Amino acid sequence: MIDLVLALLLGVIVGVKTVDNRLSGAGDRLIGGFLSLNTLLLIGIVGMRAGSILKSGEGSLFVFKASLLFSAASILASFALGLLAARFAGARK
Amino acid sequence: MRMPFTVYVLASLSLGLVMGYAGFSLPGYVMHYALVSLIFVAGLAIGREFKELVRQAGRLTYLGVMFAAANIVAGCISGLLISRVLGGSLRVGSVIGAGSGWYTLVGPLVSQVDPVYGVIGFLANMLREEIHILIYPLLSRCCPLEAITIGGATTMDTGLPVVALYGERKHMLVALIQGGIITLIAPIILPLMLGD
Repeated sequence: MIDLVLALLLGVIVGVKTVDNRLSGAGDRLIGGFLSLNTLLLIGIVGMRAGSILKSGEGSLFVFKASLLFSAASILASFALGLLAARFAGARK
Repeated sequence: MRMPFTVYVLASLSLGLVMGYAGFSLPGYVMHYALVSLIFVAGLAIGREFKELVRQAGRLTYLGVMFAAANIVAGCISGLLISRVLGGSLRVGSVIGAGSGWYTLVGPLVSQVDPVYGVIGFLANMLREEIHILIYPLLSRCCPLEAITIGGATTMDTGLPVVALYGERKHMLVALIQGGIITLIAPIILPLMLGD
């Protein structure tokens, strides 16, 4: 956990120090590209874990149906409350 | 220009699924270092918008706290509802819902009480993370701020890049605060809810 916090702090410091650099535009493109690649790598790893669960046979039909239901319900409920919270906080009129 | 990334996400997920099913696996430190570098780059992006973010910090923090609370409450209610439908334990159901996408916490925690629901908790929360990554690019066109809530705890790490890519920089701060608060309180309240 501490290394994540340190990485965040270091990133913020480097970002603040380099924002006025004349290579700023290239930096923004580099950040965007790295974020995309990193996201794809992490999704691939999570997919790998799901694949190994599927193979292990723990993924029966009931388990997958129940997982989908829990997931869909929590997403819908969170989004609905998020809309209300944003309205309450004045972020959306 | 925006849609192709969702296609890449699906392709990456599919490739991972196939590789995992075929028996491939990566050491745990690969994911850890990918996360560390991701957080560093997210910090870099925040740092570049620092002056603007400081100007809006109070309001964004308030929104992040509201979203975190909305996530936990909505997760509990939806979990209770689904466990009622499935005829399972209400306590376990509310924990699965309130996990807010933190599958590495919910899976092992619930497995101590019920191994089958442990797998359900793991998969449900993992799906939530994947669905957030898949649908945030679409929802960001109408409501980039509110759509952050879908990611739950994952918006602090794995769910953050899509917010950075498709939302505004100030949305990243809301996402980080929401994910950070859930990450801080979930390990405390979930075992309490489970009666551990």
